[in-house]
This record gives sequence, C-alpha cells and structure tokens, in this order.
Amino acid sequence: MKKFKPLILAFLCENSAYRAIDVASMRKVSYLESIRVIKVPCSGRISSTHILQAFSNGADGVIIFGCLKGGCNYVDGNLRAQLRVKKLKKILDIIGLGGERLEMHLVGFCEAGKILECMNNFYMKIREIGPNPLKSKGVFK
Amino acid sequence: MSAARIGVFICKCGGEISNTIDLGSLKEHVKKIPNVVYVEEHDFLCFNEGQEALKKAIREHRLNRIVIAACSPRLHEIAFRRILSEEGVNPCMLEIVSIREQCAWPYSDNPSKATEKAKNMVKAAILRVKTLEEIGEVTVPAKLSVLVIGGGIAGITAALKLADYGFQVYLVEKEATLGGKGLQLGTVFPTEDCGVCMVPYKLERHRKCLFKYVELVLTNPRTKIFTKSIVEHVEGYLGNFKVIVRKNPTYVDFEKCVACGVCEEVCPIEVSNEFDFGLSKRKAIYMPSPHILPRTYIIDEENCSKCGECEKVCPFNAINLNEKLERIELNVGAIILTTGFREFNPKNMYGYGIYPDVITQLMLARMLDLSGPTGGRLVRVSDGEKPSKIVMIQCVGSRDPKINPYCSSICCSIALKHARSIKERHPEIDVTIVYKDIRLMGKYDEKYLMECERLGVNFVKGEVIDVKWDPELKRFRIKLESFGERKCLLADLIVLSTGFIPSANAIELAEVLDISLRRDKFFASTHPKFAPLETNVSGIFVCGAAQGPTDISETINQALAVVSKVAKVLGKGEVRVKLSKAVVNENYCIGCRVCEISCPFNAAKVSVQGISNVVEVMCKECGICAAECPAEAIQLVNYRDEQLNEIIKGVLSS
Repeated sequence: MKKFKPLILAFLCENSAYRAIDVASMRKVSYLESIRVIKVPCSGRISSTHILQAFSNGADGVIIFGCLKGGCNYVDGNLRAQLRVKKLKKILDIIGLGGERLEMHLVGFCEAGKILECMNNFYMKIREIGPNPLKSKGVFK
Repeated sequence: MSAARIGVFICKCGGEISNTIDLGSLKEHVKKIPNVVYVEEHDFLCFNEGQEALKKAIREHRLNRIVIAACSPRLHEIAFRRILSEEGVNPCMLEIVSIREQCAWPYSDNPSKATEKAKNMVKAAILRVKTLEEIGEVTVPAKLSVLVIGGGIAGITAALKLADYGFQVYLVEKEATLGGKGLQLGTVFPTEDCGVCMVPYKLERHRKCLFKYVELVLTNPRTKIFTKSIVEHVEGYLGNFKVIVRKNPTYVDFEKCVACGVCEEVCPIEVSNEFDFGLSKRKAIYMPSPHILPRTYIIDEENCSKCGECEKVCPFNAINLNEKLERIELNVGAIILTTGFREFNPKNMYGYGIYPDVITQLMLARMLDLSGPTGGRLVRVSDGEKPSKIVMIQCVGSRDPKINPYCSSICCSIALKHARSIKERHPEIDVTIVYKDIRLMGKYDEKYLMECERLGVNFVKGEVIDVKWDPELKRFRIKLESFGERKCLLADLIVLSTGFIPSANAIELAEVLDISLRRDKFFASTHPKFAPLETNVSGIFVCGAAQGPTDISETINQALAVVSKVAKVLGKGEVRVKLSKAVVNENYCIGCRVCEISCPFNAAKVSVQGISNVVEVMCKECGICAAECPAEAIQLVNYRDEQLNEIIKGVLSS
C-alpha cells in the first residue's frame, strides 16, 4: 500500500505562531511540506465554518495555533477559539470525521521548537488515523 | 469595479530563493492562472532597483492587484504597501507570500518539494488577492481635552503634563482633597523626600514647598478640578467621550478659602481624625493635615449639624452650607484612570481591631511623619508611651491564596524604610521583621536592607501563627514557625505590613466605563507587556496603582508614559482610522447581541432598532465578532467568510 501522506491545514495567528514559523525557517529547520499555512489576524477569527470548510476541501487534519494564555493581542480571542474547538471536536465525533482531526495549541511568538513539535506530532497522529473519510466516500474528487 | 489585473512579482533574494525553487516552472504555473497579466522576477525586490521595477510594471501594465512572492510579510510589507499607494493603487491590494521562509529555506535539500509548495502558495495568494476589497480611511475629529479620574500622584502628574502640552484637563477626585495616599506617607523611598512634596501641584513638577505655589491653582486655565466628585456616566469613543460628573457639595469654595481657621474655632462638634487613623482629633469643619491640596477647610457631612456658625464667621464668604449637588457634562477626547489603591483591612488578623497596639504600616507612617499627629514621636496607641519592642509582620493580606494571591510589591520596602527611621531615631528600640521573603522591587531599595542590617534590625524568616496579649508581661506573645521550629517573640507594638487592594469604587467605575477588571479587581490592560497602560476600550488609559500596587517612581513613569500616548493619539485634533474593520450586513443581523458580548473592545453595539453597529474607532480588527455571529451578519473586511473560504480552498488544492 502506498504510504499515506496527510494534508494538514494550519491556521496561524499572525501575532504569535506566524512569527514562530518564521523563526523556525530562519534556522532552516525543515518541516513537513504537506502542512499548509493560513495567516489570520487572531485565532478568534476562525469559526467552525472555516474548519468544516477545510475538511470538506480535503484536509485530513486542521491545527490551530493561538497566542499564549494572557498574551492575546485581543484580550481573549485565543480562549474563545479554544472553546469553539472544544465544541467542534464533539460535533466532528458525531458526524464521523473524528474530533482528533482537530487540534489547537497555544504558543508564544518565539516558541519555534514547540510549534514544529506540535505539527510533527499532529502529522504522525493523522497518519495513524488515516485519510479524511470524506475522500473515500467520493464527496470530492 | 474594473476587472482584476494581477501582477505577480517573484524575488530571487540574491539566490536564497532561486537556488532552491525552480522559478521558471513557477512562472509558467502562475501565467496559466486567470487574471494574471504580468509576471516578473527580480534579484532583490526590497532594494531600490527592485522597487523601481515594481513601480514601472504597475504603471505600464495598469496592475490593480499585486502578489509578491518573497520573504516574510513581517519584513517589507509596509514598504511594499507604500509603493502601491505611491502608484495610486489602494495599499490593501497586496498579498505577500513568504516563499523564502516557508519554501526555500525549510526544504533547501529538496528543490522539487519546495517548488511544489511555492506553486501552491502563490496560487492561493492569487485567489485571495482577487477577493480583496479596497479600504478607505475616515478621520474622526478628536476633542483636545482629557478627563483624569483620581487625584493622586499619578493623576496630578498626568494632568499637569497634559496641561503643559496644551490639553484642557478635567481632574475628578472623589475625596475633598487631592494628593491621594502620597500625603499620608511621611517620607518616601528611595530618596527620603517628604511625601507631601512628592505630590506635584499645578504648574511645577515636584514642588519643594507647597505654599509657594498655591495661587497657581487658581491661575492655570487649562486644569479644572472637581473635588468630591464621581464619574456617573460615560458614552462615546476615542476622541469624543461624553461624561457626566456628579459633583457633591463641598460647602467650602476652595478658590475663596484662605485656610485662616476661624471656622474651626467656632465649630461645636469634635470627632477623631481618620486621616491620622484616629491618632488626633478634629472638628466637623477641618483640615485633615496642614499639607492638604487644595489648601482649604473641608466639611464632614456625616458629623456636621449645619448649625451655620462657620458660615457666619468666615471672613471671605467661602462657606455655603446650602450648596446643592451638581451634575456637570464634559466632552473629552480621552480618559485616564488613576484611581490608585487602598490598604487592605486586616480586621481580626493578628489582633488588629482588638488591641489598639496592633497597627498598620500606613498608621506608623503617620506617626513617624514629623508634621503628623504625634509630631514624629513613636508611641503606643493604648497609653501614649514609647514602645520598646516592635515587631513588623510582612505579607498581611498578600501572597495568601485565600485572601489576595498577588505580592503587593512595595510593603517590604515600606517596612524597611520605617525600620530604618525608627532605628536611626531610637537605637534602643528593638525592631524585628518577620518575613516570608524580602522582595525589593525598586532600583535603589537594596540600600535599605543593608542599612537595616547595619543598624541592627532583626530579621526572622517564618510565618506568624498566633498573636496573644499577655496581661502579666503587658506584652504581646507572637508565636511563629521558622524553618520547622516554633519560636516566640515578645512585642509591645505590632505593625502589620498590609497588602494593597484596588480603590473602593474601582468595580463601580469599571461598570460605568465598560472596561474589564483582572481577577484581583485591578484594571486590566490589553496586553501585559506590549500595551500595559491601555484598557480594552481605546481612548481609556490606566496608570499608577490603579493597575496594581506600584511605588511612586514607577507611578510617575507610568503617568508620563500615558501622557505621551494621549498626546500622540489626540495631538492632531483628529483620529485617522483605516476602514479594515468589522462591518455589519443589516439584512442578516438578528440583533442577538452576541457581537456586543464577544467584542473585547466594546466596539459592537446593538442599536434600539435591534441592528448591530460597529464603531470604527474602537474596532481593533480581530474578527472575534465575525466568528461568533450566528447569522454571519458581521464580517471582518478582507477576512470575510467567503474570502477565508477562498484561501482555504486555494491552499488545499494541489
């Protein structure tokens, strides 16, 4: 069987995680190229629809990075996002996608090591779980 | 709107990008995407030649949307946006793809992977740039006036400096006099100045003598002081707040009073003076301390019988016992909160409130003050005799998870300052400090510790378990645990180093201003490091001890910092706002108030018609409301749902 290569979408808060990724690449550490990155003004901007949209467009996993607790530029955007993720995980479980395909982490803007570690662990986890079930059901090509 | 003409510019970054990524195939890939009319690669887009080439291409090919594939947007985004606006293109029509940080560098050992990812990222950016909207600017007129709430050291410093800069300043103080806690302190660390002299007044920074400048109170037209006043209602936003101040009657016009004291002589009522914690007596019309500001007599409403004796004898007709409560409407551009702190009340702890000889550090400060109630004499409150053994207990009501978990940060310095002055004046008095940790936060405070050790102050690390009065010895027995051992100390005066808690009406004020408080009930700042003095409502600032216990030097630093912030925001007389804010689609809005509740900056408000409305000046573009809105009626410009979905599709397509 061909080795399964998960496609992962990462939402990065431009105030913390996006900087951290920059720092990581300045050290020329390679991370997995099938992790696609989207910059958002705050992790609190990401609503459930965007995450579901990602799954319906073929993402095998979605990972969200927000600022550390108490460090959000917009007071509590990161905590709101965390709550939303918590709720959505349950919904993903119910609809059969599996809540473990969604993760959220809080990172500081210089924690390049942490963000890469989270991404790698998530990648490995998704590889264990297998591809997005919507793919085999022919929802999209 | 004219059709999108997208120009894609790829930077080689002097080989950093082009050595890894196959730019030829990237260009081929990009050219096939609809609406892309121009693709160019350049050695260094950030250099002058690169920027000129960018400008030329925009002009010649009439490009209206630009994608730049280069380094991280964090590096040159501002410069590129400026070029766009110079060429007459809206600066928002730009999308930067960091193919250097996200493709070339991480996969320098695998060029095909890097090229694939770069193709994908550039394609997604082209899809996104197509959906971007033009963003305009609005200017909102700003009032050149500032309201300062709280007349302590922070408030007066800020007010004075702002008046210097030409702002009209309104200073609201809930007490009848200005000066706050500074007046009660006696001497202050680290310079051992007189506490009263630290309180600035009107035109001078830190006056050395108060009385020299009293007239200036009346002459500065730019500061208006409201004593015994409370902010009752606030509405509006940065640049244009409407404030209603309730001015309670003071009965004595401080502009007329010359503090001759005739009224005090005739007043028939005598009570104890709370300014000196009951160490002295006063009349119902009184001056709490000779140093108060403004220098005027004040009437204590609770005890005054309104007999009218004082009104009759006042030679300047300064007293009017029929004065009524007033409501004053102000129009200001910004608000500064300097409400300060108060001492934690250690009621029933270590015998406080039961035995008169258990006192707090602030009370000791009154005693040690040379112009205080005892004239600087150290006495036991119960019998007026000189104490021989003093024990100070640290961390009363702070660093205790059950009461206040935080460190009040200045009580150690206060205790050492007092221990030192006691030892200097009376070397025969035995002073012991029982502490958990000695924490000296100030730059110059370490010298107090050294001097206390030199002068023979005893330090005992441990926790006090119990304080009991021993009637035989006529002394307190203090049981404590130190390094696992039980110890007993004797004392005839106990001084509690109480922690500090927020001012009494901080909670009420937070409700009026609609700003958030921390868990410890001090005012919260938007970011502990990057915006320590800004509250969640733009235009409302906080400084001094209102945001946590601080010493005087830090308080003054913060007050000056806030002044420069206010001057920057209001200085031009207008506030410019880029309209990349949240917008409401009125057809979808159901008036559920979710945006109002979720907005951390109080920018979204639901009108009487049940339709949400975003105040542009207050919105800080986080998009939290857009994510929370159940009807998808509120959207963040350029991060709208459909725009985000577009980029999600683009990024995930192979």
